[in-house]
Amino acid sequence: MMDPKQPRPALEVRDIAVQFGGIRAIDHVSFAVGKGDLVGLIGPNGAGKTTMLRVVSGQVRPQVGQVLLDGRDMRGFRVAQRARTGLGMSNQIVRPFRHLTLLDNVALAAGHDRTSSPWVAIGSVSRKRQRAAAMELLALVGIASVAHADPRSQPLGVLKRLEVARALAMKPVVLLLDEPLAGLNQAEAGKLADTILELNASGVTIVLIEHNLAEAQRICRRFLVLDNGRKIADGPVAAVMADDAVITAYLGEGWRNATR
Amino acid sequence: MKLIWELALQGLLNGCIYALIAVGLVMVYGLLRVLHIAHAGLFTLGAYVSLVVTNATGSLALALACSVITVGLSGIAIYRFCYEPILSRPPYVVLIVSIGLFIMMEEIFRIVFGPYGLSYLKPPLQERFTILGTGITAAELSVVLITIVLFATLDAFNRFTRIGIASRATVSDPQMASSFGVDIRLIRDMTFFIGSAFAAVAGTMVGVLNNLVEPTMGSVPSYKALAIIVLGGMGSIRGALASALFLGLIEAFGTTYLGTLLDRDAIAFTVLLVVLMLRPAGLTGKKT
Amino acid sequence: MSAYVLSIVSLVGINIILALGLHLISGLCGQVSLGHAAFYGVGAYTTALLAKAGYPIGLTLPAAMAAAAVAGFVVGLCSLRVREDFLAIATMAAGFIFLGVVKQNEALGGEIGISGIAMPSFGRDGFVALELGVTVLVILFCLHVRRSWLGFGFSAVADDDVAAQMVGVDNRAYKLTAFCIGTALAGLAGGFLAYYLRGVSPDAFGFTASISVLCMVVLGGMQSIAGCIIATTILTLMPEVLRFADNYKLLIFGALLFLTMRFLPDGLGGLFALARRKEAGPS
Ligand SMILES: Nc1ncnc2c1ncn2[C@@H]1O[C@H](COP(=O)(O)OP(=O)(O)OP(=O)(O)O)[C@@H](O)[C@H]1O
Ligand SMILES: [Mg+2]
Repeated sequence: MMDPKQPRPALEVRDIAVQFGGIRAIDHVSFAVGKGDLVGLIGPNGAGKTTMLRVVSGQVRPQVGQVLLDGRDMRGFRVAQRARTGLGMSNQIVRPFRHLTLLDNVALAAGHDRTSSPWVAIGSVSRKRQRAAAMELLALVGIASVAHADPRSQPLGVLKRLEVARALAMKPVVLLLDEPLAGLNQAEAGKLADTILELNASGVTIVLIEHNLAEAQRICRRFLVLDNGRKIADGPVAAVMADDAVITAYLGEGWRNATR
Repeated sequence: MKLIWELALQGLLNGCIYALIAVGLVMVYGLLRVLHIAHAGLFTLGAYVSLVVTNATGSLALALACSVITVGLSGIAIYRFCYEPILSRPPYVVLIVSIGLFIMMEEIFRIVFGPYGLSYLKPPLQERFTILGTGITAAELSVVLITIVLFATLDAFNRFTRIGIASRATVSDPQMASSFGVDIRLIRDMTFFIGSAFAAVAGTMVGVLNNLVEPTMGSVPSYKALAIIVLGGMGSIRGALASALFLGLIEAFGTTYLGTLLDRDAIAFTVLLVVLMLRPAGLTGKKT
Repeated sequence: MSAYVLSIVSLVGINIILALGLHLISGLCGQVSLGHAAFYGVGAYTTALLAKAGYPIGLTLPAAMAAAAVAGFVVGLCSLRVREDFLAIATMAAGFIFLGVVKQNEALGGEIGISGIAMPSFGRDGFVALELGVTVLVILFCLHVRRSWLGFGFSAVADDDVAAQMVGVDNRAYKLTAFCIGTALAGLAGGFLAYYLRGVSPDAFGFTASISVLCMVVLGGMQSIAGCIIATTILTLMPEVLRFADNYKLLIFGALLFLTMRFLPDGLGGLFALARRKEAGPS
């Protein structure tokens, strides 16, 4: 089981600060995510959630702070290297490879051992095994029926799930999902949330950014709340949802004292 | 010392011409992200119109007006018929269209006006002055003054008129601008008109300075102006002015002192590469 | 075959190798280059110098490829620092710098270039056979690259280089590889050109040449190797075919570029795809 003394977190961020011109997008935030955890990273629009994910994945370099993956400092690791060390990521604003079918979008990720270096890549041709794996993942997220379609012709709900399938194909240890449920109808969202829960049960550590708080509350164990770049709450879901600062951040000043 | 003054003047003159040519490219690039090579063809067209009208009427002022209007309208026509229908395509498609158009324009000039170039019957602006101990012709002085006046006007236009402000907004966010009721198409037409008009002025002045208008006079500006918009940080008019002058000076001094190692183009592009490596977003560009 | 036909055919072969090199860089990997002719020139000059010094073709051509690839690697490194449009301009700059260095350098023949390169010992027919054989190999190699995981990775990088990284494709390594392979092919083409012309001169490797190669690739449809080969053949033969209209040759060339891209922006490759879809039946 776990080391009783000091279990090493799967993901830890220490004192991250990000400034875009005059905007302080993240203001010295620290947190840790334990192995096997399923954490909801929530907060109102513009809170800095996506920016935090982009810092962790290596797309944004923070002015200060550290990102540790399984205890390893990620400084100097580029996005591709982080992806190869077990960090899976899905984007809020979808970015499929437009000239590849949905299936090949996922197959490319599934073949990450083939693309590890150009030398390896030029030596192998068959995509059969990776396509089979990709098909299973597309089925898992419920879009196998459009596997051979062109992503440019697909609705947002499909592309969101494509993002998730592509992230899963990297066989991640830690999975970062940025609003995977957005653009899905209620039934689809419920199903994908169940899938996320199952993945977590199978051992993947997950950080889930969501505005769909109903589903997030249902599946997450813990919420971490950002507002205006600051961490304002961190703890069990029920406690966080009852927290005054969180309620104020979402609903505005005076909610508590207002008459019903 | 005398040499240094002369080189500085030469650099300044070339810089002014580069700036007048590049400003159109910069405006188009800022608005549409299109590398508008055919702009150099408009520069040549401007030179020819001015020369033909001057030789026919004897008035350079009239000729310049005709040139500005003809070339400005041609710019709009190029936008409407050549670029607008393929704007959604990858940038290299538009680039090749533009190159094809430029080659066609050069060839048409050659076929219509002959390969060897034309001269002014009575070369205008040939009076000579002495400033700071350096001789300068009226033509050279006009280039500098025209550049100053045109750029100041353009800057004021962009900052103080509604349409200028709208066009800056369109550059930074077309969708937003259009939802505030800005007529994007009008802005684009205007951009092509103004940019092309500047090229017409540049072409006219080069024709007067050299007393020669050739079908191939646009080929050097066609690529040199691209270097300037990159140096200036792509899409910034002031940056383009600064980098055009910078490049003009570098070339003037470089060819004199480094001419045995590299030719003029190579000097310009070496500087460009060094700047790009140090500041990937250009001299005045913001880091992203 | 007559000497004239042989000479045209070998020029087509050289241009196909050259254009396929750029096809790898710009078409497959999405890095538009306006300086490809410089690497063609590096290969040609390397070959010319070595051949004059008495080295055999079995050595000069590999050396030409290596020299061009090294130059390509350096330019590729620069390309990692700049964004798309900047990249096009940076490669253009590299082309002008190459030309400037060559023209001012007496050891490289200055403005005039180098002449008097001997045909390889196996004679002209043997040379053409070798060249065409190599052209076929290069075509097969490019087809393999496209089918392989390397081509798969290239297409991801061309599409979206951040997303490519998210699936573990190291965009830098892939771009550098594309540059090295593509410029090595340009060097090879340059090597053949040096023997073909029995000499080299700087004018053949200027901005105009870079643009013509890009036109071959874009006209071919960026994604399509067959399109690239056909476009290259057409553009190479055109000056010969249009001999009767010599005065209007360039005008027609410009109009061809303009009209094709304006009305057929996907190039010949797009045309094939359209035909294939029609064949498959209306849907
Ligand atoms: N590249 C950028 N340049 C400038 N400002 C940025 C950039 N990215 C984000 N921001 C700003 O940083 C702040 C945080 O943005 P972020 O996208 O992280 O919020 P978010 O919590 O993901 O919001 P949402 O729920 O709407 O997705 C916002 O004010 C945003 O405008
Ligand atoms: Mg977000």
